[in-house]
Amino acid sequence: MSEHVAPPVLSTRKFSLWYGSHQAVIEVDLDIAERQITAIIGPSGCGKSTLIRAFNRLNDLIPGVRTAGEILFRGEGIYRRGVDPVAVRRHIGMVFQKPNPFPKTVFENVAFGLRINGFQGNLKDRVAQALVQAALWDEVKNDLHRKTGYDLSGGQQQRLCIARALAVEPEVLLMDEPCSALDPIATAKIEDLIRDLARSVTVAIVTHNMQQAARVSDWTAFMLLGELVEFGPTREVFTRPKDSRTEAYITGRFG
Amino acid sequence: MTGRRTVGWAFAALAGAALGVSLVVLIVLIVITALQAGPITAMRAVAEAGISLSLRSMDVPSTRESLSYSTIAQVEAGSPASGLGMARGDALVAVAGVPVDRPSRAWDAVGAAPGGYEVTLPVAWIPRSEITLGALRATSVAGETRVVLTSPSPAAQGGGLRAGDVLLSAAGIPIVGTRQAWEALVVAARTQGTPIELTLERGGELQVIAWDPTARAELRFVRNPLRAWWTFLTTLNEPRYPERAGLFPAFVGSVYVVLVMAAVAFPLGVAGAVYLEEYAPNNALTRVIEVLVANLAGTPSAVVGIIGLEVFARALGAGRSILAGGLTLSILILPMMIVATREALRAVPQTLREAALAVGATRWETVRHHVLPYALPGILTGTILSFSRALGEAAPLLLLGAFLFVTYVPRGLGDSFTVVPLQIFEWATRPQDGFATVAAAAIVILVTLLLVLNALAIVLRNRFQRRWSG
Amino acid sequence: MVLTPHSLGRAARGRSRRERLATVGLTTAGLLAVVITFTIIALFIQGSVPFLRKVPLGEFLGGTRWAPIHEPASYGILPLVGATVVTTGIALAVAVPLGLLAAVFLSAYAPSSVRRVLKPALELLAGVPTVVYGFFALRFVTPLLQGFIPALGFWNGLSAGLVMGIMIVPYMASLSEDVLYAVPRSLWEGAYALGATRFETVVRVVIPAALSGIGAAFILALTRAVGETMIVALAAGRTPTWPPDPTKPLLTLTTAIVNIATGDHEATAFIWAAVFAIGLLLFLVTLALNTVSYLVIQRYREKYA
Repeated sequence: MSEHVAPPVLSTRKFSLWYGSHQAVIEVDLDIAERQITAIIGPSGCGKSTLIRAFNRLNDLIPGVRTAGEILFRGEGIYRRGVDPVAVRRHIGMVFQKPNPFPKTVFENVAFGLRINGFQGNLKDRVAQALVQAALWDEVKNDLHRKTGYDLSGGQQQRLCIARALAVEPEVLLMDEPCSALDPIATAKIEDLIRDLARSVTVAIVTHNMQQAARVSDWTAFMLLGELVEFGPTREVFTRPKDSRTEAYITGRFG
Repeated sequence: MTGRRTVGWAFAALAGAALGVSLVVLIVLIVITALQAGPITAMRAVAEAGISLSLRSMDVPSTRESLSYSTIAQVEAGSPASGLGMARGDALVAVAGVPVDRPSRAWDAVGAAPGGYEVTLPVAWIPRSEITLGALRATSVAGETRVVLTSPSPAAQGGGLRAGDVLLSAAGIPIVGTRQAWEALVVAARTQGTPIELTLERGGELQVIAWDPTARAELRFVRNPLRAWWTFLTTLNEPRYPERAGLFPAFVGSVYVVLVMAAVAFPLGVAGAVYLEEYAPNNALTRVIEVLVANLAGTPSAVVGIIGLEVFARALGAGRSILAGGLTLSILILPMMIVATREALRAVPQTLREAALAVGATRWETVRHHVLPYALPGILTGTILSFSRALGEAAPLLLLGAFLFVTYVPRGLGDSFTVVPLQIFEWATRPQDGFATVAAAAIVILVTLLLVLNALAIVLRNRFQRRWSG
Repeated sequence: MVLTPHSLGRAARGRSRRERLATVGLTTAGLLAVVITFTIIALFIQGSVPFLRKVPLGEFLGGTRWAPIHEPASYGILPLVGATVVTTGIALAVAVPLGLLAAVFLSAYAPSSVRRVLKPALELLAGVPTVVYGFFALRFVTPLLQGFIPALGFWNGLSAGLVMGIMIVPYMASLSEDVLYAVPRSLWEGAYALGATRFETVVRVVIPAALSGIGAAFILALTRAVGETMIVALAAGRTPTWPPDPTKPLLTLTTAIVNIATGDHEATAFIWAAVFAIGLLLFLVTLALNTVSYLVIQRYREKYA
């Protein structure tokens, strides 16, 4: 991992996760570099979504989940005793597979995170800024209080969810197959947006779409059956995979 | 192949018939009950004319026959009836030409008389004994009771009776007592019409005189169904006379009890459901709680009533009050509230929770700002259904000893009370004429209220399903 | 240290306090069901102890004469159990076949438009208060039946049981319909694909698949009938008879409780202990039945979730 210029924002140390007796993630070691885009790819059921959800402890919601090993956020173990998962999520935001706006106005969707986190500044400006960052501002600026999240198109909804996540200024933005429910045009817009975002925020993205990983990411991790098979700069993973299983997957002979 | 088809069709027809028959029987049940309430208009008309009737009967001497008649048990001061000189103790013998043997006959006659809302009908009554006959004395001669008219009233004198007459029989009904003499006249007038053949002994001789002791007048009756129902719903209850029965105390009692129950069961039920659905760890304790909630939901309401009586009325000293009633119903409704709320919470998409948590919301913030608002229509639907169930519950309050005879309107939480279903129960068990009618009328009001509430809940649920499913 | 609650500043500390408060409050509410249940059990056991001390269990459960306010008093519960069995049996004989067939019709035959109307209609009818059914039994069904059975008493278990059955039909239908509807479409399609008719699919595939759920619905209907009070109080009378005869007045377990509770007895009178003993018996029976049906339904849900 010599190409890392800065210390990683997030890193896993022999991280394992079980759903009951089923082990979904097996001793994964992975570093996510600051202000870079890391893609996690692999066939469905390989544990990539589970892993990314572990980064902000969303798996806590699922009964019967157990973890071992560590995930470090700026050197601090997020699964350590005394760590508040709410604080973890405050710093590590997430965008989900299916757009999931709140059934509230566009403005309230973005403002919610700010309000609960006791934001002291100018709420309107901050909301607008987040919507601009998510490339949604021009489309909704006249309907901030009139339209609800449900009134937007699928692509707009997903960008609204990104704006919502960005509003609280997270250091890391996790994206769990953010384009899987979108049409190609909306997907292209989101991909452009992700590239722009990487200037200010660290992005980890799970995708089942290898082209997408190749297009947007700086780093790529390939997972299979809960194990991290290969991890490296995207260009290298896609052109000179070290592991034969990675090669089989990216050349389409697999899954 | 055709055999298989036939069996299939027969089965489909059978299943459809089962559903059809069930629905029809249930609907017929409600319709028949509603029809039973019909006479309430005429009953209220009679009551508003000022007359309350009461069923009496006279055993005919030397036969096993018992003949009934209706006395005027009460005449309201200032009413049209009192203007005609009717008074307590008189006997009503005919309305609109229909002989009145029992009170329901008078109501039916008023109800059946042709005309609009207002009708003026002839009524015939026999004034009480001291007006019709005067003073009587019973003497015993050779083991036989002889009833002597010691001082005839003006009416009796006008009919040809004199002091010292010994009354022997009226239209063949032997006269054997001073009170019974008047009853014999009433029954004779009712069964054989007037004038009455009165057999008497005057100066040692038998004489038969034809006498009509009835008073006659025209009385105005107002048969307005809307007014009758409205009065029934809004007047105090007069427990002795069905035509003066009022649902108001029970209605207010129901409202109070349900309000107390709402204040207790709604927050606790929603909180319990939120705990089980959003907070409870997946462990044995949680499963035990779930089983116990399901059990409480199926506990017989009579058993819940014992708890109410023992814990709230006795141990906590709330007595047989609205407070105790509301708390008792809360126990009954709490598990229903929990089950309904959990269903509503389960319908909230998990992604909504994740979205809130992912921007750093705490669990409580997620629940308060997103999960509960989203689930609210569902929770309200469940709440309305639970409350309407409670509104119809009688058994636990019957055990608690909610008073069956409440004639006043409860004013506070400490007052004793009755509720509509209990009032229905009380009326339904009364054997007198007319109570079945008021019980049916109360049923119509209660069932209408519940159907409206339930329909509201169903509409709410459907709208909410449509709103979020898209 | 940015991830611990302590490092999150003032506002955040308020938040975590609210969070703790909410957790404590909600947990308390959640535990209420446990508290209530154990209160019931404790209360009933405590209340029954003086009763069982005076009346031997064998005499209580095996006696055929219920006369708690006579001298000498007798506390045999069999007439009450018999009455409950008779009325419940009649009710279930009406409710189970009708309810089940109605459910089959709704889930297998009725077009979805019909189902959308009739299912809420059933639920509406299930909401009619039991005192209304009691009135109906007393005023219409009994006179109607007396036309066929002259010996039928003014109060009798037959009309109470029949009307109770009618009352339970919508409940049974609604519960079974839920169960049948939950059988996965793939099972239906599998049977159709083999050339089965709709009837064969329903009878050979769907109903067997839903059998445990239907069993649970049956138990819930049974509990409902056992616990029913107002219909029997109005229409079945208040006279304990042994052996129980559906044409005669009957005193069920629930009406026996009502009878004593509405009688004018001192709160300290021994007769109250009998209320607790009957109540305990009823509670234990329904507890057992409910638990079984709950567990069966849970298993059923897991099977088809």
